[in-house]
Amino acid sequence: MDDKQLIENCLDGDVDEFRKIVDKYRGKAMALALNILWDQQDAEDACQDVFIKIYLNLDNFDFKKSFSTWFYSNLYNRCLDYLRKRRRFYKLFKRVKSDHFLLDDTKNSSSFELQSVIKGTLKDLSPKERTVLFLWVNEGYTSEEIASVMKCSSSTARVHLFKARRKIKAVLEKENVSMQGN
Amino acid sequence: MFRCKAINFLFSILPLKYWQDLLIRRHIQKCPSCQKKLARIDEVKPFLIGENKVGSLEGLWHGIKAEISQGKRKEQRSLLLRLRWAFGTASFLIALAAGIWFYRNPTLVKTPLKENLVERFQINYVRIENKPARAFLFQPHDSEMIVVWAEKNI
Repeated sequence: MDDKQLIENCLDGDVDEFRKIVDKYRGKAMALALNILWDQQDAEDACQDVFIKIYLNLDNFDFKKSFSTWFYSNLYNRCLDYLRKRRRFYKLFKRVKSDHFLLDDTKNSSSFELQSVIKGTLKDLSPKERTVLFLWVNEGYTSEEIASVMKCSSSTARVHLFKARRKIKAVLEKENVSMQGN
Repeated sequence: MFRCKAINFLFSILPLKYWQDLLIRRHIQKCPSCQKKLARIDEVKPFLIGENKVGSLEGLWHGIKAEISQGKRKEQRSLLLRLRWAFGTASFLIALAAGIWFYRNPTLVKTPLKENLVERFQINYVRIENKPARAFLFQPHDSEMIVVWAEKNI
């Protein structure tokens, strides 16, 4: 059953019909939220908020557009809200940068094997670049589709993707060189 | 090779993303040497948290369902509340408007006594010393006082 059919059933039927949409997207949603936020609790909260928002705004869904793009766009904005909130919190207490908080937090989380990632590149990537990479790699989105998720021009999306790919390649090459050196 | 270096240099100094994108589309996407400096999908994948790494999300649906059903109840309650507020506000506004209107038009509230004098007072006849007398009604301007004046009929 495709997304639009699911939404139509959901608009006609009860809340349980919405579960199919949640089951279909929860894994992808959580993965994207984690890639942006790097915090299990915040990611779960962001996902829950977005699913609720989606449910309450299903009437406003434009059936001419892709549901996944609409969904990811909502989720991306929600995650940015969480990042802003976290930055405000840290500004308030004049602590270290929020990125450090993220990294420290992920060290404690046992559910992800992030250690290699932390040591590597992702800490150098901005949330926008991480989003672009996620959508490109996991969803196979084009720069136009990424742009509609992030509400920016396709040029901007392409530049973000280019920079992110270049940074990762640079790290990979550096690691190769160091491994060969050892 | 020199061209690639020049393009990379230009890319780093160009301020606008539109111009940077122009370089990507015109050169970098077509140049095999520049493409080698970009990570491929299979190289990027291990760096990202994939769907398989997010763990169990069984609790997510229960949270969503609880919020949605709670939201519906809240919505019904808030509708009632909104209706009450609307009714209260409307009543207040009507009373306020009426108050202002009456304040600006006091003559409508206090009907002139002169005009209603005949309706409010009726003296069939006045007698002085057992003889019919002439009777007059006076009302001073802007006063509620009414003076009945009677004099002998000569």
